Amino acid sequence: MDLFLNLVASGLVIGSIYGIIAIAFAVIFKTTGVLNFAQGEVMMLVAYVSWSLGTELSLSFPVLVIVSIGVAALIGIIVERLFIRPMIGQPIFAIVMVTIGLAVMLRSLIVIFWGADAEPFNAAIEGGLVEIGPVVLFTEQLFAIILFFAIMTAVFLFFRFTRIGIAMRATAMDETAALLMGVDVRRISALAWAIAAVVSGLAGITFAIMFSRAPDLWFQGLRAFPATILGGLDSPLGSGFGGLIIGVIGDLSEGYIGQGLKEISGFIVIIIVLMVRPYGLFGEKELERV
Amino acid sequence: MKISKLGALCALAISTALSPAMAEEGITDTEIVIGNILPMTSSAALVGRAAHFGSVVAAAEANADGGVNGRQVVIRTEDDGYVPARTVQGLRKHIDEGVFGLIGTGAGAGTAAILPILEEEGIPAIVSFSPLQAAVDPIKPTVFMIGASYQDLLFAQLKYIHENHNPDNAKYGVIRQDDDFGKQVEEAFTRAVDAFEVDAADPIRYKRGQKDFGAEILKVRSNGVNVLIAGGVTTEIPTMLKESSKFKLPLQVATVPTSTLPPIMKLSAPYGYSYYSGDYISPMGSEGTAHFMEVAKASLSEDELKALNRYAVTGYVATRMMIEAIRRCGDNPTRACAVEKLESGEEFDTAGVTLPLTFAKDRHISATAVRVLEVDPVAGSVTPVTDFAQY
Repeated sequence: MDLFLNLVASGLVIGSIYGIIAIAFAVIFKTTGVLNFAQGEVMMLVAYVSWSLGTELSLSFPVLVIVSIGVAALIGIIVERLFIRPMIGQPIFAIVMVTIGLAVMLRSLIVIFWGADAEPFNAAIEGGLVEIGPVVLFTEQLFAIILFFAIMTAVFLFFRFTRIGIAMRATAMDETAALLMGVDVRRISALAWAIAAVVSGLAGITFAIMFSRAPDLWFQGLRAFPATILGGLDSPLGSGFGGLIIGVIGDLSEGYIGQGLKEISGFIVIIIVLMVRPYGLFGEKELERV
Repeated sequence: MKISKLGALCALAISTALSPAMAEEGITDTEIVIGNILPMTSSAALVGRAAHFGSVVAAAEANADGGVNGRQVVIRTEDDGYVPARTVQGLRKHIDEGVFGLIGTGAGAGTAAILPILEEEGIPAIVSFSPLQAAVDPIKPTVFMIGASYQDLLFAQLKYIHENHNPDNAKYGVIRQDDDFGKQVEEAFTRAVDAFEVDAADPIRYKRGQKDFGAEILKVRSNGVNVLIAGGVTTEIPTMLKESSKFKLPLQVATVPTSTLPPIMKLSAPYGYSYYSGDYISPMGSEGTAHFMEVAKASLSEDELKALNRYAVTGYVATRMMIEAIRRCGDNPTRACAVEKLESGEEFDTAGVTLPLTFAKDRHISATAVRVLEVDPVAGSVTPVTDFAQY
C-alpha cells in the first residue's frame, strides 16, 4: 500500500505539470484552431526569464510569481502579434509550421542568452518535506499539485462566468458569428496566447524548481502533448485531467511492471481511448451539416 | 602545339595521381579539416560544447606553431542535439563538405550509429567524447578510442565500494538509460554482480529525456537496494539523488564522469549524498591540465573558457593525437597514412594530461586505466581514492 500510494502521489506530481501544459495547448486550439508546437519553448522562455528575475532581483516567491505572470502574458501577446497574426487567413498547416519554426528559434535564442548549463532554481517553496500518512513529498511537488487544481478552477471559472471567457468560447464555436456579435476576434486570439503562456509558464517555473533550469525544459511540452490528445484538444479542463491520467498510469506501470513502460503506458491508454472516443475523453464530437 | 598541350595534360594527370593529398578529402594546400559531431544543444550541450572547445584549443596550438606541415588546422563541428539520427546526418554533411578525420562522434548511441559509415568511407576517427566498447572491439580499421569504457569506469567504482564500503546485506541496483550508453552501464552492473556474487535487483530502464525519477527511486526503495548505479547522463543524476533523499535512502552511489562537472555537483549539493565517479584523465585544475589551460587562455574567449570541463580535455587530447599523426605523414598526408601512424605503436604526447599514449595494430584503444574518485558536491571537491588501474 505504501508503494502504491507513493507511486500515485509521484504520478500526480508529474501529471500535474503535464496537465497544466496540456491546458495551455487546449486553450489556444479551442480558441484559434492552432496547435502550438512552440508551447514547450514558450514555457521554457518564461521559466528562464523568471529564473533571471529571481536570481538578479532577489524577489520573494509570491512577488516573483506575480511578475512572471505579467512577463508571460507579454511574451504570449508578442508571439501572437509577431508570428501568428500575420498568418491569419493562411492554412492552419502553415500556421503550425510557423510554430515549429518559432520553437527551434526560441531554443537557440535561450542557449545563446543563458548558455547551455543547467542551474538550480532556488525558491522559498523548495526543499521542505511533507508527510501525508505514508506519502512523502517535497514542498515544491505538493505546490505542483495545488497549482494544477488552482489553474483548473481558474480556467473553469474564466470560461464559464467571465464575458471574455464566454467570448472566447463563442469564437471557438463560430468565429464569423462571434465577429458579427461584436467580439473582437483578434484580441481574443492574443488573449488565448497570453493565457497559454501564463499557464504553461507557471508549469515551467514549477518544473524548473523541482528539477533544474536547463535548456531541455522545452521537451516537457512534447511530453505533455499526449495529455491534450487524451483529454480532448478542444477541452482545456479535459486536457488537464489527461495529464493527471498519463502521469499516474506512467508511474504505476513503472512501479509494478517496469521495462520502460512509464513512457509507453500513456500512449497505450491514448490508443485505446481514441479508438472508442476519437475526439478524446472530454472533447466534443464535431458535427457537420451537409 | 597540340603535342605540348597533350603533354601538359598528361603531366597534370600524372602529378594529380601521384599527389595523394590533392585527392584526399578534407585537405587542401592550405587547410586540413578535422570534424566533430557533438551535442552543442540539448541536455548534453554542457559536455558537447566543452569537447568542441577542446578540439579548438588543440587546433589553435598547432596553428600557432605554423600548422601541420604548412597547413592550417580547421575544426568544423556539427550539432547532433544528442539525437543519434542527427549524428548520422552530421557525418553525411561532413563527408559532403570534405573532412579528413573525425574526433567528436556523438554520444554512445550516435557513435554506434556512424561506425559502419566510418568504416565504409575509411575516415580516421578517434572516439573520445563517449567511450564505446563496440567502437574498438572488434577492431575497426580506421577507428580508435581513448578512454576507458563505461563498463570499466563503473565497475571500478563498484569494486571500490565492495572492497571498502560494502553495506551489510548489500543489494545492488541500477537505473540506466534505454540506449547504447545505458547498455554499457548495465553491463558494468552485471559484471560486478557476477564478480562479487552479491544480491541484485532487476535493472531499471528509463527513456532518454526523462526527468522525473519518482517511480524509479520508489522501486529502488522497495527492493532494498543500497548500492546504486545512478546511470544518468547529466541532470538525471541530481534528480535521482533528490528523490532518494526524500526517503533518506542509505545509498552508496556510482556515477559516470559527468557527475564531476561543476553544474551537476551544484545541482546535487542540497541532497546530502557524496558519491563516486571514475576517470582516466587528470582532473581540471590539476597539474596535468596546466598546459592545456595555458593554451586555452590564449586561444578562447572568456565566455568560451567558462564552458571548459573534463570533456574539453579529452577533446583536446584526441585532436592533438590526430594532428600529430597527420604531421608525421609529412607533406602529403593521406587518411591511410594517418591511420598507419596512429597504430604504429609510437608514443603520442598529451601535454601532461595522461602518460604518453599509444595505439597498436591489434589495440585501437588507449588511456584505459581508471581512477576512482569520491565526489563531495557540498564541498565541491573531487578526491581520487585509488590509483590508476586497469579493470
